[in-house]
Amino acid sequence: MKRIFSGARFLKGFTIAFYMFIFAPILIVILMSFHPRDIVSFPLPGFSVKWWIRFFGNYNLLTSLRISLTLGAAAALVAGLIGTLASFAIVRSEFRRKDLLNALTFAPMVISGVVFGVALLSLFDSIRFPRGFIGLVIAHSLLCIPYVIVVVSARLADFDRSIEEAAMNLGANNFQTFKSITLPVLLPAIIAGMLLAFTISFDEYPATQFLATATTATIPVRIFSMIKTELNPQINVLAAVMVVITICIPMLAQYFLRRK
Amino acid sequence: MIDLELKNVTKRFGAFTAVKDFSIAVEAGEFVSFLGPSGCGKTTTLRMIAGFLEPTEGEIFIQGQKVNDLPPYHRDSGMVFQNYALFPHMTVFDNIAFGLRYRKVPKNEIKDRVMQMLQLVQLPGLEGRRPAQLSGGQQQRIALARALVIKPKLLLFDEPLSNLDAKLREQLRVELRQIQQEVGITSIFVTHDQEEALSLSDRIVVMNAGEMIQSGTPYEIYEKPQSLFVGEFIGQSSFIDGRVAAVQGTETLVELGNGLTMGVSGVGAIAKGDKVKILIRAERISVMQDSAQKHLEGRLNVLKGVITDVSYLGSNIYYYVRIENNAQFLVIDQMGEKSPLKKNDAVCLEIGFKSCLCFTSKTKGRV
Amino acid sequence: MAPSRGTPHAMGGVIERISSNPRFVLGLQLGPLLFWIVFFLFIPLLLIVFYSFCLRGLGGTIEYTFSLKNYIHFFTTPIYRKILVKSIVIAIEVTLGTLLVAYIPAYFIATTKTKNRLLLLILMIVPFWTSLLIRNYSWILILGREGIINVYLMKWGIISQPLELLYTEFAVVLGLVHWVLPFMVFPLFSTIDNIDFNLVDAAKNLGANDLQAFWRVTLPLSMPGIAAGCLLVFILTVGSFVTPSLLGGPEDLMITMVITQRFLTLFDWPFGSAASIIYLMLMILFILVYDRFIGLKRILKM
Ligand SMILES: Nc1ncnc2c1ncn2[C@@H]1O[C@H](COP(=O)(O)OP(=O)(O)OP(=O)(O)O)[C@@H](O)[C@H]1O
Ligand SMILES: [Mg+2]
Repeated sequence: MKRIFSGARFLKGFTIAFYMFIFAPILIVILMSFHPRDIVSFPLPGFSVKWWIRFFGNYNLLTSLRISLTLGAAAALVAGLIGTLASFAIVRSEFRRKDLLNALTFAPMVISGVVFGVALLSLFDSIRFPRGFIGLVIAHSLLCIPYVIVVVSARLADFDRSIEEAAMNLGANNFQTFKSITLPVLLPAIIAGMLLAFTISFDEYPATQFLATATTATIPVRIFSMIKTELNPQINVLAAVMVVITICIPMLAQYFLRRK
Repeated sequence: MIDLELKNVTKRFGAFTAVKDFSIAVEAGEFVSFLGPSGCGKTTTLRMIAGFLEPTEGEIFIQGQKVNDLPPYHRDSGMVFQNYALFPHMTVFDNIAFGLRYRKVPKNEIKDRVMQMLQLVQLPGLEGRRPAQLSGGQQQRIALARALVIKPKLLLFDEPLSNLDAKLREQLRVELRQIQQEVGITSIFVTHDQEEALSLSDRIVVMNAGEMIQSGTPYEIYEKPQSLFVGEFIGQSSFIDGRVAAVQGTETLVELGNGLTMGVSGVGAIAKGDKVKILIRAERISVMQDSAQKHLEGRLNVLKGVITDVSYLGSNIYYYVRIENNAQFLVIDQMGEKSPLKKNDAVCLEIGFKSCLCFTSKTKGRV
Repeated sequence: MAPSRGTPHAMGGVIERISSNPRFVLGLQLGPLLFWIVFFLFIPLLLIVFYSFCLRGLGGTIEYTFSLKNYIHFFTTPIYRKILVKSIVIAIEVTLGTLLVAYIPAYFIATTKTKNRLLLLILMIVPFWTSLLIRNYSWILILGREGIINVYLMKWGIISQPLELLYTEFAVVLGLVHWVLPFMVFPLFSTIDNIDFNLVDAAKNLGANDLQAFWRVTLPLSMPGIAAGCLLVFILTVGSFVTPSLLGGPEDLMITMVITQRFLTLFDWPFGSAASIIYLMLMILFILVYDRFIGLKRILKM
């Protein structure tokens, strides 16, 4: 580091400050979930788990949590299936307009969720398809597919194809080779991709706000309206739950990616 | 009986011809090596035999059956890959049993045959391990066991030893040959390592740029190269340019310029006046201190020179000698008990005429 | 000898034949994705284009005509022009801010010892995966009138009146920077990591001091990473919705908020569609300009 600025200390100090900056909001939320009073205040006047207890007695929030979890799982499954299949074509085949397909696949990653949400809302409305869980699964899966493709195709590009050839050489046909060799070896990456997809879905708000109904309000929908209307420590608990889920799941994904 | 036959096989990738008009017939039990420089089409040929590539032209027969349209999984060939290609998510046992399961072999028999194979490759007791827990040498033995256990019609090897270190490679080479002879299975072995090919094979096929250049026993390939390419590719040799002064049978007299002449063996049709290249095997030259050899002076194939460099390799020693017409010679001498010659020593080189092969530019292969 | 298997079973044969037909396999692999993209992305966007030329009817219905009124209205009403400009200004501020904040850590990570490097990179990903909503909520706790910053500044007697930090453009930019940081750090890190530092040493050997060497060698060599990071950050920010809605004040409206408002509260879908199309056109224009002057190919390769 001496190479650029004479002060290696400056670089180090800046980097430490940077990490404090990125972690501060996360740590503060978790801390606040143990706030004892009804109005958030600083510094913490004490330590209490009462909001946690109330959370687990709040039927509406638990329902939303259930919806978010099932939605995330469903979206991850659909995105996992579609994304994995597509990764094979993208990595292993040459076809016309591959660039275009790539660009289209990654479009949901960069187009604002709001625009994507209103577009899907218009579609569902015009074909009289009721808003609800299925619509959300479709929207979320489309948003998650790029993440699955990134993870799975990276692993697939590293895939040693000679083990597939070895299997065929030993008498397994294409389908059997896929079932007994390709899929099991690729499975950790697929699971990792699906876990990441789950996290994306679990936090999605911009598109969800157009497609969710009162009975399919997800956790982000609840949090958003709670933040907009009243700030009470209940959000803190919800926030801590979100933090734990959205951090732990990608870590689990990392674990699967490491495992060969 | 012919186990494998290729008839005029050609493989093109787009406009590029990787294998050109390749024909060969391999006897049952024969061990044939494909030897050649990188990119000459060895792997391509092997993969056509295994069924991973389709020949653009020509026909492939395995035990008399035409297999051009047969997918790899119906060809009954056992392939051993350069990078082992063991299934990482399966135990050693399941790896070896893999092919048997697709052949609907009963459970008990699978177990017996897998264990038998582990014995054969001298790795009993490892059946519960995963490939990641094995050394490179062990992995390659398991790969061999996996290919052998299905009792294939052919064994195909693609540089199976090249990822191993030198010592292990030599050891496995010996084992491989023993196992092959024990099982008596027809084998095709791709390599670019000439020592490997020479020591293992019943027959060597030398390839270059997609073409078969020469095919013969290791002895024939080494002693009677039909082209400069083969002579150059195999063994260590020196080359001298010259012009043919006289021809009598295969005995040929070549002028080297500077008034020097040599008696050599001609390869192919050679006529007086042809420009030729002489190939001299480095280990067939005897080198002597010049002063001690007055009696040899003036005799044919005794050349005078000076040592320009010496490199000592323990079991033998390399001398780089410049002769009177400035041509450079490599001489490999056994160390024995004599003390080595030194740089700038004047020396006499004596070369038997059978060890000097001369080629014209007309002989097949790259000159 | 293994049993000779000339003709496989009929059923196995069908699967075998199908699974070795490359066209069929390709169709199977890409079919679902294409279906999803065409039906749930492409057609919906076309529908939006169509709606943007319609008009709002009575009671939030859609009047099917062909009219440019929505677009004209958008561009002739000062407030919408202001919002459009504001969206771009905020995106530019965030892009530059992120670059400033991210470069040094990226440089530090890339030049640090390998062991620490992995840890630092993983630590970088953790906030990336943490819920964006929650991070924004936390900024409210930190920046609000009774938030951490004001409470402590007052307690220490540095200020007597709470600062107005929350619901300002500053809060929006801060929240967005926090969100997009990883998108800047990772491209920067990977280019800086690939720089051959012998070049920097060579420059110093030729008499450049540390800062000159950085300015003349390291910075130009990290340009591809800067370009890629800025592209990503800009695009993400222009289309952001959650952060400006939660942290911004009444003045800090962005185009996504106009769309949301039109669709959800005013039931004016045609105008909301027109705003969406304007946003998309802005994106496409930006990407085309970017491709023209910097080149998209280089970034796609990263
Ligand atoms: N799928 C392919 N498409 C185009 N060209 C190919 C393909 N496979 C091989 N080739 C070309 O065919 C030639 C022969 O390749 P091959 O792999 O058979 O060489 P090799 O003799 O096995 O070499 P090595 O000793 O390096 O393994 C090479 O020039 C290679 O670039
Ligand atoms: Mg090869």
